[in-house]
Amino acid sequence: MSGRTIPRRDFVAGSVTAPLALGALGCSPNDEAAVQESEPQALDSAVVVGPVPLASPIRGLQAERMRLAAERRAGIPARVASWGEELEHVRSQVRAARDAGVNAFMVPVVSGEHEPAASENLRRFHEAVAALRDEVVAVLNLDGLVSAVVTGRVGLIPWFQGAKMIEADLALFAAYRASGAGIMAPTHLWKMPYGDGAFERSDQGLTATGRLAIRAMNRERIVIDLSGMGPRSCLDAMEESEHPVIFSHSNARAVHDHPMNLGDEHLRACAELGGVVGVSAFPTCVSAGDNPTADDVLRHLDHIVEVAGIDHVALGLDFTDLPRKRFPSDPVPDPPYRFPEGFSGFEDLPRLRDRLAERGYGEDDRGKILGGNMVRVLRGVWGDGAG
Amino acid sequence: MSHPFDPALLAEARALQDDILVVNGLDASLLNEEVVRTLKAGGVHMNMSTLPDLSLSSPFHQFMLDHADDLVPVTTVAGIHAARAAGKVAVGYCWQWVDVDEDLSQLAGYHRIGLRSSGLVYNVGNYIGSGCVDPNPGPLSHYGIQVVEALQELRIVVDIGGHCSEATSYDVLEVAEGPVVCSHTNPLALRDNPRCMTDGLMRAIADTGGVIGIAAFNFFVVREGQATLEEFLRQLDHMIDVAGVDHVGIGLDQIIGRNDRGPVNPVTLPPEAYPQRYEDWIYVEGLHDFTGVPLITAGLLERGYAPEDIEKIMGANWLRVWAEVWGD
Repeated sequence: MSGRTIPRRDFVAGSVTAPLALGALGCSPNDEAAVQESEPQALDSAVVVGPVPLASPIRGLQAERMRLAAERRAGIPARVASWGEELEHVRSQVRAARDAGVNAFMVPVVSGEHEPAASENLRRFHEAVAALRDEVVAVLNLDGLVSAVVTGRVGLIPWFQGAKMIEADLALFAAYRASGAGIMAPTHLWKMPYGDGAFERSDQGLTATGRLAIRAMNRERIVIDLSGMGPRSCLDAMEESEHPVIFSHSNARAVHDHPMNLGDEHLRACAELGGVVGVSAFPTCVSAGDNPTADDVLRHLDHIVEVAGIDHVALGLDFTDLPRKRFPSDPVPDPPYRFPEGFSGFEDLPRLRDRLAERGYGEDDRGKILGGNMVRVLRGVWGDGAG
Repeated sequence: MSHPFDPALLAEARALQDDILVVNGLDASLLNEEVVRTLKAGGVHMNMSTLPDLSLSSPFHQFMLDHADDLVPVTTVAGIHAARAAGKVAVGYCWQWVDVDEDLSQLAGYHRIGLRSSGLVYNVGNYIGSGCVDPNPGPLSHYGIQVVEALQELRIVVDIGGHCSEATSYDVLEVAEGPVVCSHTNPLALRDNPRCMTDGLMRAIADTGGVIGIAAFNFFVVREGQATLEEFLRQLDHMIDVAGVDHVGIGLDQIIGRNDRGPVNPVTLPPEAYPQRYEDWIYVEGLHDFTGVPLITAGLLERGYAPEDIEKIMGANWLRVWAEVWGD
């Protein structure tokens, strides 16, 4: 068996690989009338979280390749689901999010893919959104988010890990922004033409190209996500960026020292830019023990609030079952992961509100943590409306 | 006193080249008529050509077929000797960086097409390591280590090119087994340019049994004006002094057919390393194409190098390393 067994289907006649062509598929079902009628405060109590990967194959070719490789290693026969079955997985996942009060969550569309796989992933994403349009909305701008809230659908925010489809061809940021890349992590966990990843052998800071990439992302109003980037590169990027940045799923090194987690210097720099840090439940990033708890996750949140402030924290969740280990030295185990009890899926979010209250976070604070802070950054970087 | 341009000495140099096998260890030219013509006129028997696009759809395959009377693609040292015997110029295929989008399974196919030598990083950091103009140079990445291992597994020559940072270069020497080459560079001791190489790194490459090729790119020899053949030969002397006569070759790095006009990209080709207009990408006096190769041979004769040492410098050192790495 090889990576070629990735389940796939023919999506549309002809081959649509250019990212700009995706808009032509009409896959962004923002309900314009509803959006226009909505009050500006529609987003005041929005719950915006993530990233959380969707069911394959929508979650991407690289993820599928790694899943199949891991299952092969474990002797598990390849499971090949049909596109329809995959859509049903996504539908139940989206319903779980909706039932937990989630208005929108970030969805990894690209996780380290180069072209043409990256465009193919983006096409699958839009195809899935189109198929599920009565329950989901693709959130490509603030209107999309408002649309999700006022129509009661779940917003899916395409999220890109690694701008490998762009590299030094910086003009492509505009093309990807236009077709959905509202949030991008310029580097993944390993070395890139822009800088070093958190799992690298070195910690070298941004390259000249990396600095230009940060400026290009500012220019195109793409939210810069620095989760997974190495410490020096992160500091350089925050120095270079004129806009707030996010760490979509990163915890505090002061609570648990792990390469994915952030030192206080980084937390403060992020706060100074007006950004947010999304707390991750990924067990290896929560604690050194085998059985992290929801309280362990919240200790990270408390620390980030203490150092960065209540306006700079969010819920990164990172509920994933996908393999992360690429090189033997990578500081992550193979799946299945043991997520903290009480903090392992969307269904835990209602109880999480109570836990936050128990820890002394008032209603306003809870609103900021669950989405208010993230909405502030999205609005600040994207601008109001569809712009 | 004779001079490399002296007709009698040049005739002697040409005669010597007819007795030895002359190898240009790195060429960045587009394969075109001018390259074919000047390779033959300059008495070059083997040219290692940079082919960024080695895919099956690349037009160079047809070019090679159309010029089968003059050119022979080679993947072995035996093939180079056979081409020489048939009166044709041998052409090897190389890359200056590994561009497979982190998918090393593609390497086997490129090896099958003929890839026999490859660089890793081109001036600025990539997935593999850092480049010679990076502000914060560092070692190979995890993937970079896999790249070196994969190249060696396929018996493709690992070439630090001169475009890798010093830190990445030393790391390559650490990871690689057997000879590592630097196909085209110049001594930093005589020309302060980030693209040039320290004496220490040249010695380290020699210690692997490898070869360092000298480039004829004007700006790697002098900061301003036209570099003379004398200045170029002084650099060659220095490299031989430092690395030893068994570890130096030529890798002239011409860009025939690729010499564009206008501004260059200052990020990948910054002003401290490259002239900022392509018009100024010129070559050492007499070495703008391959017709000047006998000038190098003549210069070495004039400087008193023994014919057997000239044979090594002008080709045999490359052949030794290729035979060892390619395994023929």
